[in-house]
Amino acid sequence: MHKWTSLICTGFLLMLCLTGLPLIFHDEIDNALNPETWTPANPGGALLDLDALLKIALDRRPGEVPLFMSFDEDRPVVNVTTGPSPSAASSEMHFASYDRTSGDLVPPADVGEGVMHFLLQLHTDMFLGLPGMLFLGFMGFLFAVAVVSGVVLYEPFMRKLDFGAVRVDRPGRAKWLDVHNFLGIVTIAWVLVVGLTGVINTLEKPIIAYWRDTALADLIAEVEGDAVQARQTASLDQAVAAAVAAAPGMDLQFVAFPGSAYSTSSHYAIFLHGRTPLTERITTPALVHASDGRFQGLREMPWYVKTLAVSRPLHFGDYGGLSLKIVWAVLDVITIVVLVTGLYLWGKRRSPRAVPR
Amino acid sequence: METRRHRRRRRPWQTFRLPVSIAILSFTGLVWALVADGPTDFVATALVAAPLLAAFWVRGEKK
Repeated sequence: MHKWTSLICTGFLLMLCLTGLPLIFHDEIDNALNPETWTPANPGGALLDLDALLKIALDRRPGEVPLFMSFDEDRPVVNVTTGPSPSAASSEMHFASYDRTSGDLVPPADVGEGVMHFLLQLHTDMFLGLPGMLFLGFMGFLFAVAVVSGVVLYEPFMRKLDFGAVRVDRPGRAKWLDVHNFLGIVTIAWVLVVGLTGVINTLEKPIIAYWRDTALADLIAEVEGDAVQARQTASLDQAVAAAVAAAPGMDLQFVAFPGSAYSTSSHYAIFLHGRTPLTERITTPALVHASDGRFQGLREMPWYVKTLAVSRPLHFGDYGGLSLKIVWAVLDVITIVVLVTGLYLWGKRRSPRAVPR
Repeated sequence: METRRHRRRRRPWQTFRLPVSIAILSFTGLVWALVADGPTDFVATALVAAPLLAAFWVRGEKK
């Protein structure tokens, strides 16, 4: 089982480990390639209300509808995503950032973005969309089976050896078997956590679709009764203020406009998050009717969406500062060594010149 | 690096005692970094790095 599950997934795991390495330092690479030179037009000045900013964004994209609005944490900037229709595919969406103190366009910080986007797509779905994601999820599952079966195999190999022993005095295969076993067993917790959270991440689209079809559908039935696309006549600024006031201790993350992937056809879905490292990754939507501004309550995300939210940082290692990222990268390199030594051991065993143990 | 073999066979718990300890430390660090913030991030990172520290320690012992 260890041999076959490993052989099937190793090539893909090597690709995931290699593309994942630069992705660990995505923020640092972005910051290095795009040094912050932008300053707001009126530093410390009053902020434009969100309705005015939305109008500016839509005036620049005639014929398009708003899909999402998000907010930078460390500068007065809003990001508006628009598209030709509420159900626009991601390739049809347009993303632009605006200065909240003036409404001016903020120049995109996109040097190197093409390379990072390529790596992220390769890592996420190999440019195959949902089938690619699910395939990589299956490879991740096989990898977890290979790891667990490797633990079972570890015990008989180590009955007569000290922990960490590497038999350098034996021919090549025994030495690399010891290296494979030792590095594999010491990194097992990290490898299983990163591998299994990676599998959960590949289920993102089905999980969100299920949430829309069940929990969100229930909410829609509860609060609106019909599914008519609402005219957005209510003030966005007041809607956001009402949602923030209803959730003390939470911060605004983004707004999903009516009909978009994360909202109903007639509501602003205003997503808020907590302030601790754990709760800041778990969002709670508040619904405000887009035509009359009625606040229709907060709805906690179900457990499976929370699981997905927690899986992201545990997979990417971007939640404990640069030192954790460096440890993450070293563990990633060790996993590459384990994969390569595993392939070497398999190749040696097949070779007629292999020296018996 | 040296080779060391035991004459007597180890029991499973003896074989897995250290790997399980390292895994528990590492897993604790992964969760700790997620739920805590601030100065304790360093401790959490050190726990996540337990496999690396163990590898250096074991290899150092065997030299």
